[in-house]
Amino acid sequence: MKRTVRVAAVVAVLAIVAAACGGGGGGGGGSETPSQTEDLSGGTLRMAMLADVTAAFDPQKEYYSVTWEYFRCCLLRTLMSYKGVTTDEGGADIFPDLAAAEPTQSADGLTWTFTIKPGLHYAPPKDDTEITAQDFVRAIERTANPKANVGGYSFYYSVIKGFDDFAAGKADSIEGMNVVDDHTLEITTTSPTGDIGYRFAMGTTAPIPPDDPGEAMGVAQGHDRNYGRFLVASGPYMFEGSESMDFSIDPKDQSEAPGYTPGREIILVRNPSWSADTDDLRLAYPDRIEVRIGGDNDDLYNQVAAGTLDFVVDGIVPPDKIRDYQTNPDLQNKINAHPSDAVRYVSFNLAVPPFDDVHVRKAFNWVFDKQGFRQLRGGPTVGAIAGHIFVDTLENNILQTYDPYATANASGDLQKAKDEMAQSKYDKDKDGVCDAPECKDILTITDREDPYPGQANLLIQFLQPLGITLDVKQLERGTMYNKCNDANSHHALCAGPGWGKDYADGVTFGQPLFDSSGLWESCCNYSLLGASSEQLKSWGYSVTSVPSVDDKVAECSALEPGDARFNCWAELDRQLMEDVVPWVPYLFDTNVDILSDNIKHYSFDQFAGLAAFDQLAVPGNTQ
Amino acid sequence: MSRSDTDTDVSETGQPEVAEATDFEAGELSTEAPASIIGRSPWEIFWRHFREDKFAIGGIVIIILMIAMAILAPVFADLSGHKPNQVNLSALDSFGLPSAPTWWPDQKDPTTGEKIKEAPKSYLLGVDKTGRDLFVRIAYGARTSLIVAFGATGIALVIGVLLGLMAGFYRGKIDTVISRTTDVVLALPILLLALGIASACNATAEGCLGGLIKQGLLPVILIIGFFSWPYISRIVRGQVLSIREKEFVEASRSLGASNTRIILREILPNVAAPIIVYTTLIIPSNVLFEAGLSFLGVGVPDTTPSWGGQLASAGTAFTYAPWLMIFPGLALFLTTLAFNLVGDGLRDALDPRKAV
Amino acid sequence: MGRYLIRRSLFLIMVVVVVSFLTFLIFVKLPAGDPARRAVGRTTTPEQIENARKAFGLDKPLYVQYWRFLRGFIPWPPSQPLEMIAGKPPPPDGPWLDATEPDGPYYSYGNFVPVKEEIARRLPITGTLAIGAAIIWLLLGIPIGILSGVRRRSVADRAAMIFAIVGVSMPIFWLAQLLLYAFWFKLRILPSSGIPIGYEGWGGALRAAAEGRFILPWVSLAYINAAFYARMVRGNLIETMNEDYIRTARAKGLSERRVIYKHGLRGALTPVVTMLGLDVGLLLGGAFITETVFGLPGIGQLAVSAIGTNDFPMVMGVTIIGAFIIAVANLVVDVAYAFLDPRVRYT
Repeated sequence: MKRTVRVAAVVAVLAIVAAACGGGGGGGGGSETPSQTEDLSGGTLRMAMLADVTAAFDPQKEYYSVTWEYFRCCLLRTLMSYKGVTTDEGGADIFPDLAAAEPTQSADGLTWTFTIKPGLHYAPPKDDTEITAQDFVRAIERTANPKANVGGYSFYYSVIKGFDDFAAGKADSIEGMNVVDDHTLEITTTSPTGDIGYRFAMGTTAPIPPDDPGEAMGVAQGHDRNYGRFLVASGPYMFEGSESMDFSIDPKDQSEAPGYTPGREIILVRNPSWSADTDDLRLAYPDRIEVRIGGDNDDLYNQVAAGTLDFVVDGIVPPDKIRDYQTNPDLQNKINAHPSDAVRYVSFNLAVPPFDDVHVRKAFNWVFDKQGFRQLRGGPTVGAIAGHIFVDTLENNILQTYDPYATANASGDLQKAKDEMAQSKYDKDKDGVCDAPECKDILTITDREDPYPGQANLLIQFLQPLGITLDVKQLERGTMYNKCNDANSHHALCAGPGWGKDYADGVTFGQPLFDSSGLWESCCNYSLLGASSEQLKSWGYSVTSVPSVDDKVAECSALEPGDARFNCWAELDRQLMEDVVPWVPYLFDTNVDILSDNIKHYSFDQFAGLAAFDQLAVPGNTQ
Repeated sequence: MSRSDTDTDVSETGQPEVAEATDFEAGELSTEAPASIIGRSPWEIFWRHFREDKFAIGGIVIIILMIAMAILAPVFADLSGHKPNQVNLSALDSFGLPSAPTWWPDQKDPTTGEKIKEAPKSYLLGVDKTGRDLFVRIAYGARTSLIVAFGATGIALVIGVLLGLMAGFYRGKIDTVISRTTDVVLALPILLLALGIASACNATAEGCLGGLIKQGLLPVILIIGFFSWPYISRIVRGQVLSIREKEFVEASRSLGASNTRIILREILPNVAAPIIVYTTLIIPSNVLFEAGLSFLGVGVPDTTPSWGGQLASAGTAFTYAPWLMIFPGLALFLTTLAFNLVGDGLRDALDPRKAV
Repeated sequence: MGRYLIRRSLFLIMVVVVVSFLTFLIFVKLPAGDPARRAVGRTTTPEQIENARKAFGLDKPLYVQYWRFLRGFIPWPPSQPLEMIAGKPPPPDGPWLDATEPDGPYYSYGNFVPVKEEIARRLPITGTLAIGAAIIWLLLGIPIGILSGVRRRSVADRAAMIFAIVGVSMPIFWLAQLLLYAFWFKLRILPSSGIPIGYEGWGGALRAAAEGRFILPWVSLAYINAAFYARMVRGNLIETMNEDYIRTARAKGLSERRVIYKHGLRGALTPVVTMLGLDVGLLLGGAFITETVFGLPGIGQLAVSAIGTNDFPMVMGVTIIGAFIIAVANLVVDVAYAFLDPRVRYT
């Protein structure tokens, strides 16, 4: 892999620093830089989450960045993993975690060999069980199991030889997963996959311990639907009371780990089997992590300000708090803002007139007031104006200054929009104002929480001079995403979504968002790019063809990581912005966190786009 | 949700009353016939009492003002240059937070110590969280409240009078069925069901009843009307029960009048007065009902200004923009108060024995 | 007495049945679109929708659907209570993906907690709110109403009636916000809204009350209802005092005080008791809004947020259980009423 040399160097530096500091300090970035003599470990971290995780911590189902952070920082180790720091500090790079070193690649590029660190054990009740190669096979087999992977991301693993056959029930094992011995694992792919390491840095590949010999799924046997409640940890933390789980009895009679009460709380305690000696990636400062689920967004941030709560995991900092913390000198070191590698956008459905006409879509891009959208969201703190689709880190900043629809102050340019609209077939008299009935009452779906309704009003306002009127439906967030994804809904505009990278490669944007494999019923190609005419007909559209970028996506996915691959994704980005125009991207999101006074250290995990929970140091929180 | 206190009062119509006699001093007798013994119709007496009730007159004034504001809302929009849904970003500060009206007492932001940004003068009451003119929206909100209140009350009136008349007049089985139904509807958990219906019809893109009823004012009017008719039907039934025994009805019947004729010509005019009174007392609770539904997010959509909806979004903002909470709430309160005052006045004027 | 109670019980059972049927209609049948698709929510596959359809029994006739829906709430007969999970990822031990034989209680698809459990957990909060407020407004409203009724046109009466009419016209959510603004934000003398987690059960609720977390919610809820009761008691009292039997009592030479308290009040208060019964329904409504504004984790807030997230099982559960509670409260009130007014027992 290209990144090997850099990786090794950084690891070496880290080791030196860690040794010098004696376990405390350093490590991550953030606004708090403690003195080197201060010991940051210990204490209880008190966090709050507005909503529970989406699939009760089942690793094969959870496709949610918050859960991914819990897995990465705390519960699950994987072959490769991240350091929980910003991109500049190496947070987008992967390092060996359970693997002893970077994998070696075969001559034909199709087979990867991982060596597994010996002597690592699971958390209680499986603390006598060593982590071996077979455990990873088990995880991949569960990833392929259609009953277990509902809502997950198994599509990233189709590239493993025999994966799809196993998933379809045509084989009883995955050919491409080969256990050479207890500590050596061979993975064979069907085509060169340069980013294989990233795919094995995700929670669904975390090892699953065996149980009765012969039980294919190990401890997950009999828990197709809810293994998360019975999760056996491999990271620095585990659910409180995990040791009481008994896997020797019938799965139906087993009782869940008491530390996680769905909808109410998550309590993590230290995993006695984990040792910092074997783990360079995690600092694991708090002794105990208590997470309360539920509450009101603004109220929770008030509690953080008052010090009765340390951190809000999934809230949105209210604009007035942003203002307070940005302008008050005493508070400025308690607010952290980091680009989260996500883009916010309005998507077009290219099968719904008038958006089947590229000129209308371009006119829309010209007239769009991106500055206004950002202001309604909270101003410059919440992100940077987006001039293109892929976040810059995925393109190695090649397109950092590229903005084909740039306007003065990013507020939109009506004249340019009209010039574009005049070329459209929906503007019969060529005056720049759409006069066709297709431009009236366009079905628009958006979120109903602030600031989306306000943004929708702004949208209505600046579209009106173009002759476009909207019929806006405000929906609850989950329902909104579902409707936007559902090709049968015939919505024309989806105005509330955002999309973040799954890992630092452009394929995590290109494939789900613009490739035909991301179409309904799969996820997230709302623009219907690449849909065949049969598909369009089956969904009830009268439009018979839409553009496709499948070829380009395939081309880029096949390239080795490196400059060629970056350039390829950048080309796709240009093509999308200038020729296909499926979206108006308006913001590159910034994750804003405010911290309570008790937090003495903060690090932003670029992988999940959130704070690294294990690095929130609260040494004084002992009760 | 509020309710009116109409269901405990089943009063009778006012009796023809002798006009005020002049006061007699104790022990004094006048030899003159009191000049002011003139027969007056019940309506005239009614008006006299009502006119003297200062609070009720005040209520009427407020109602007229609110109706005027509702009618003139587009005029205000033109004069100030801001439409009700017009987003004006320059009235928000760089963090997207709303600015105060110019006459708002100079306040320092509690944390930063800086002055809160002021909106341009044309915004009489400042702007809301998305930069819209608060005063114009309050004026349009009057439309929503009044249309829904009158509409819903109208529906309740029609259904309630119809059923009440039938129950009171025909008695027997019809009465039993209608009365039981009324009891059941009264016993239903109104808010829960209203929330459910409202969310089904108002919160989804498709609407309900096979797409017949879409998001907007109509579902709200129907829901509120459906839950208010029992009060009216009960009153009407009680009235009809007492009236049908009266001599003039018997007289009419003996003359061969059909049931319909009797209902329309004898009974209805005599129950009209209490019907009006109790209907007026239902209006304020319907105003609050709509506001409550909008507050909970299942009333009218956001693009239709509603005082309840405005209060909902003001709830999280009052620490930095209290005007968003104060003014819509004040408008709502005054309107409801006005209707209550008028309703009280009408009721007291109707039956002076019970009057204060 | 027995017959009266039986009659009333039957009536209330009928009300609960009607409510359940209406709830079923409202949530499953009323909205346009496919209920299975709607219920399943976010990430759906056609297979999931089909399974939800089977779990709901949507391919069966209407009465079967209604019966299945109802079974989730009836604890008996004990053999397979209906499971109606329709969530994006399946809940623990939920076989609905297979949808062959449904079993297990209702699960909220928001967080996979059984609906009954969630409601039971939140009951103490709503109970503390409702009962506390009820005590305050009865202790406040009735005496004010009596005082006003007895001393008509006095200054006290005028003041009381202004207090009352303001209360009746006040939107409860605005009052709640004003109180929060004044007492929590500006004066800072009362704790912030909401109840921290860890205050479980009735003990937790009472502890929160002791810390003053219920004061503003109680005042909001109580003021408005106190106003209603004050007006009603006053009106009833005035009307009662005009009755013949009062005149008789006076003519008998009883002191005014005795006339009022022994005779007048009885007639004036019985409608109050009826009102209380009807009121439970409205009380619940006021509680919903109060809980939402003050962030109290009670049943009301649960209902509102469940409706907001289209969490069908939870909303249906709250509606039906709420109706049941109201019916029981009504029955209690009816018994009390029967004691107060013996004439009723024989009707």
